[in-house]
Amino acid sequence: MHYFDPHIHVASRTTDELAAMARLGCVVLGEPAFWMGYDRSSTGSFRDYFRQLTEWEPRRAANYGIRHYAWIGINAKEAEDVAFAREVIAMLPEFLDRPNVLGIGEIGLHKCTRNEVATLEALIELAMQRDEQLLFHTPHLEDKYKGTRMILDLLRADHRVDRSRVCIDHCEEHTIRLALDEGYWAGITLYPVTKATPERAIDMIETYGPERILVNSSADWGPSDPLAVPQFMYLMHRRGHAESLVRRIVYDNPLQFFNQSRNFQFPPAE
Amino acid sequence: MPHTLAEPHVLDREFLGIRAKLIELAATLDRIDRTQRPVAADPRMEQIRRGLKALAGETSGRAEEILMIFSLPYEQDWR
Repeated sequence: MHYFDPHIHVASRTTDELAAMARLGCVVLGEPAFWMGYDRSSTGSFRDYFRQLTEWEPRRAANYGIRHYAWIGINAKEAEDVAFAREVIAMLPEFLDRPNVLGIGEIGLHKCTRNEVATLEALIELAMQRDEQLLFHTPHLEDKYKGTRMILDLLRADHRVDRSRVCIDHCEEHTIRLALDEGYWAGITLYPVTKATPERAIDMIETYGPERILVNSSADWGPSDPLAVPQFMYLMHRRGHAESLVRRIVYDNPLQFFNQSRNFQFPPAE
Repeated sequence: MPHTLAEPHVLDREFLGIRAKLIELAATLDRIDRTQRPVAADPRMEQIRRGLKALAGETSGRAEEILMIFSLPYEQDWR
């Protein structure tokens, strides 16, 4: 079965892993801009990173028959310096019209500070001005519930937001209902320790149904598994779920969500 | 709409896994008890105790309940 991994940081992964993903059926991946494990020292570092996501990584994935799409933005961990963040935000329009860019992401909150909120509001404003799709990172561990509620408060206050074009990512059992009840897409990240395991992701789908749910590996430079989505598929089958339900979660749903981006073309028009 | 589990023998399939996780958890708590550093007053131990109590509860929704025990409070008037 073909599948999407709608959130994975392949810039941090090897070509061997891309090949393994392709062998197991990955046909499309989404790579959001994120924190690379260290704070960047200049806007030039961000420019190079955005070029990597829009020039080099698509070619690397294409070698294995995988279509690479990107989200461009400044992550919450580097959003504390508001002046610096505004310089990066000013650069984003240079990249948002590139052919593999789906929208602005992953953006959100980390420690839920005033400065993070100020940067996030500037990013949402840019997205609304340009009619961009949005991908939200929700905080880790003890900050997740509070941060998710704050992100939803910010979005609810802006009547221009089309909720069907927004994904609230890294949802867990205590936040997924918040996102779904307000009409957003809910992303579930399959991680070995933090976030959700594939087993818990399936539990959430059994509880809330498949509508507007995406599952992803969010594999990066930390403990994570680039093959988490096929592992999820295997466990769905093992629990006895229908092929059509598995396909809906790993293919139809991300296709529907990505299709709302003006730059998304799949199957490729050739 | 909830999608009920298609596979009917959930307990059969999960029993050994639950057993292993409970023993692992018990051994980890024993390991903490053996350390020299007193941890009884550590607020994380209170979170763990509350989590274990939730785990032993009779009602469904334990995962959400435990996640909330480990979450910071949200204040509606944060703005």
